[in-house]
Amino acid sequence: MHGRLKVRSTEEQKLLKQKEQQKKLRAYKYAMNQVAATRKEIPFNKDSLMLCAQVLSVNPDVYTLWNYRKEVVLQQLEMSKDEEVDDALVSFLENEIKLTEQCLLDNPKSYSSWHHRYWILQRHPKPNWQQEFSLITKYLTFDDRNFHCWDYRRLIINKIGISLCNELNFSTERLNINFSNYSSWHYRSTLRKLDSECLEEELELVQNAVFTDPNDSSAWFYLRWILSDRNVTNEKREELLESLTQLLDMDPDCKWILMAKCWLTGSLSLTDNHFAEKRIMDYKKLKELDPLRKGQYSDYLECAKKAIGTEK
Amino acid sequence: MDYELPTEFDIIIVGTGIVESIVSAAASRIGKTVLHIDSQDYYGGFWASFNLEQIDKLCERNQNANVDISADVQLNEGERLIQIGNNNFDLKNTSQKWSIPEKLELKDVSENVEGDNCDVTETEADNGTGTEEVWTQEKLMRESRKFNIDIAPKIQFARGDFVELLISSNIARYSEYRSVSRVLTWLNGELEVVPCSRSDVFSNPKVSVIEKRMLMKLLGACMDSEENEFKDYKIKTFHTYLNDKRLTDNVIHYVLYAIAMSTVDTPCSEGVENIKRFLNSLGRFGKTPFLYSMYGSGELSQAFCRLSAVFGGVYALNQNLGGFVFDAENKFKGLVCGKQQVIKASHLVMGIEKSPEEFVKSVEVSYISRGIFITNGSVKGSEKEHLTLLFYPLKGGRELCNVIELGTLTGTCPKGIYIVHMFTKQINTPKEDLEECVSKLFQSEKEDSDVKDARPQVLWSFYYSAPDTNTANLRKDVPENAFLCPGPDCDLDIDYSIKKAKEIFNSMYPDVEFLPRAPDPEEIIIGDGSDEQIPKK
Repeated sequence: MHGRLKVRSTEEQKLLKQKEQQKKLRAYKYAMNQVAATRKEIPFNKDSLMLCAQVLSVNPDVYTLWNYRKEVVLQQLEMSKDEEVDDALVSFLENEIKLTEQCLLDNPKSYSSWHHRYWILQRHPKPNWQQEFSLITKYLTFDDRNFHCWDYRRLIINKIGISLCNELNFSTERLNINFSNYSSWHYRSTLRKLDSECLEEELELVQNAVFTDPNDSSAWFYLRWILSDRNVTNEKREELLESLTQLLDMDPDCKWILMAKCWLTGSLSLTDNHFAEKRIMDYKKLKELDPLRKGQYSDYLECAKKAIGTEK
Repeated sequence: MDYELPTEFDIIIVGTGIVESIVSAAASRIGKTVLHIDSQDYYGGFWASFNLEQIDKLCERNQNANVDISADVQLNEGERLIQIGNNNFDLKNTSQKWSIPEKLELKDVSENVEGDNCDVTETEADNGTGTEEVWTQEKLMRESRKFNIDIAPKIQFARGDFVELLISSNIARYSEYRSVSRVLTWLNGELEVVPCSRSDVFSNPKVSVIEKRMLMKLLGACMDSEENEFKDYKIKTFHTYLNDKRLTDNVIHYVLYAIAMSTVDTPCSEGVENIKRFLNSLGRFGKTPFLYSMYGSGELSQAFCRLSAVFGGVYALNQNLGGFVFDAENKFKGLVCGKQQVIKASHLVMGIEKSPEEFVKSVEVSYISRGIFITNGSVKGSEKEHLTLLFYPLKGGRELCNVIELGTLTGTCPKGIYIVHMFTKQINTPKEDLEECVSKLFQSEKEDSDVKDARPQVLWSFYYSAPDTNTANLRKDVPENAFLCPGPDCDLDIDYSIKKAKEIFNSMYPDVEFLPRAPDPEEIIIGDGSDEQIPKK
């Protein structure tokens, strides 16, 4: 016989947890005191640096500790200044990179860890940006709404040079998985120089999104960015207006469609007064649909009316 | 082996199908003593998965080969011994066929040997570029143990009752799942990917922007399911509702046959319920609402058996069962195991195929037409291996054929091979019922060497009619303390079987929780807690 099973009660579990927490707290306090007491030492105190790493891997948001590490790194850099390539220095820096990796696994949204990583790589005699690039791609597939990762990707791309086509495909891939993502759309806007050729593609993509879910704001913001481009001809704008009118027929209560129509009629009315009338009607409808922003629409409405007035 | 089982239990369960196994786990879990016994030497009964060799012999196998009435036991006055098992629910119309030669011809073999000499990377590259591997019966049989072929394949909804039960009871620990990676349908003479989720709708290039909006709106309406929306369709079909919505034919097809898993005859309310179930299960695990049990559907019943055993259930397979003992009032008394041992229990639960003939004589059986195919490629090839669920409308949309395609990543077949399961309600024979779908998905058997056919080739096929006993009344003619468990149904999932198991459990043990959460290993203290820790290893 294996003996009887006895299930731990929730009380017992709670007690165990409390005990654990107390233990952690004691360790944390000890480490912080130790670092504070030895911070100015040259050469640095090895025990403190080790303790510091232990605390950070549990809680990567203690920026005092990251600053301590940077001071130590600067010390190391100073020491190896004259020699050509110092293996000891490289392995020291690699160690720092590994630490941030550990911290990021635990908390992928830790500002300090991302910063420390980039800071180290900038000072690295042989930085492996390509590896960073693969890493960030991997991170983004885990969570493509983590803006830290998108920021980091831009930093890396500045270092290794950009393959526009690959980056566009990457952005399309992320959007296909989830297009409710401001970061992916925004990243795309940093890549695209809109010429007549790709304009068509982008308009199609954004229409796919707004027709799938007109209440999702992220794609509408991208559309507004496209429309801000001078290459969008009036002909294109009218075409799009037609398509949005169709969409509005299917979803008459969606404020985003009306807003987008107003963006379009706004620029079209500069040459054709008939669009200005439409614009005024749409703003009136928006006031009813979205009473929380009533004041804003009234303001727009006034401007639209004035514009007609001045022309007349 | 020479051993004797204990002589008294709270409950004896005969047969290791899903329903029996769930009841077993639930009873053990609340502290009842359970004897779970099967005359077969494998788990699962009608729900089992087999390797290639086993399934090869399945047709010949008499389901109740181990049942023997010649028991030699002393009965009390008024007691009688009844034979275990019946032949009312055997698989019918079984037909198995190899479409490949037994062995390679001599010439080919020598070529093969040459091929073995080149270095590995080169051969692999060859496979990648599409040089077709030549399969023989011998070669497949050598890999027999890499096959786990379900005779009742099941797909679970990610938020269905089964998955919820797995999680709430902590049985999830005993099994592994893989999410179905694409849902297909047969539309305008081609296999098309069904846009399941919002992202699918967005990225599917074959769905126009207007259709995207239609599809999303319709699914939204079904999800909200406001009274007014469907009030005129109480006695109409779901198809009528869709037609009245003025959708395009493609949108109607996707919704009706795939997302609602319906036919042109499905009532509106049922179609709407199906859509809700589909959409509710989206976005939980993977890209589709569906999960498949790794290493075959036969694992499902074993997961429950494992839990039962952990809580003290006694397991005995491959047992010679001598008969059931019933008393003068027709109450179950005990089971004769072997020739002499009588094991007593206050309740008996048995798989329907293990039931004495007299309890099931009026049970009505319908049949499911099933086909299993071993093929050399996917029905819709792509870069990565997919786990595919395909809804194929048969007979102009009056019936729906469920098709499941499994690759090697599911742990059910060797590399380079796919297993395709097809099933639908039986109307004629399995072969006739599935013919339409088979002819479209696979290369035809007649050799047309002129035309290059990109479709997969069927290497082995197995057709059979499987009994469905889920609509029958299983309390009629059955003594009060004995219960019958139905076999597999025609549904994709096993939610109905869980419901049946729960009913049986509740009739035996009313007011007791059904499968409460089992403790995690770290919550368990071995011994009475006084010994500090068990040494590792």
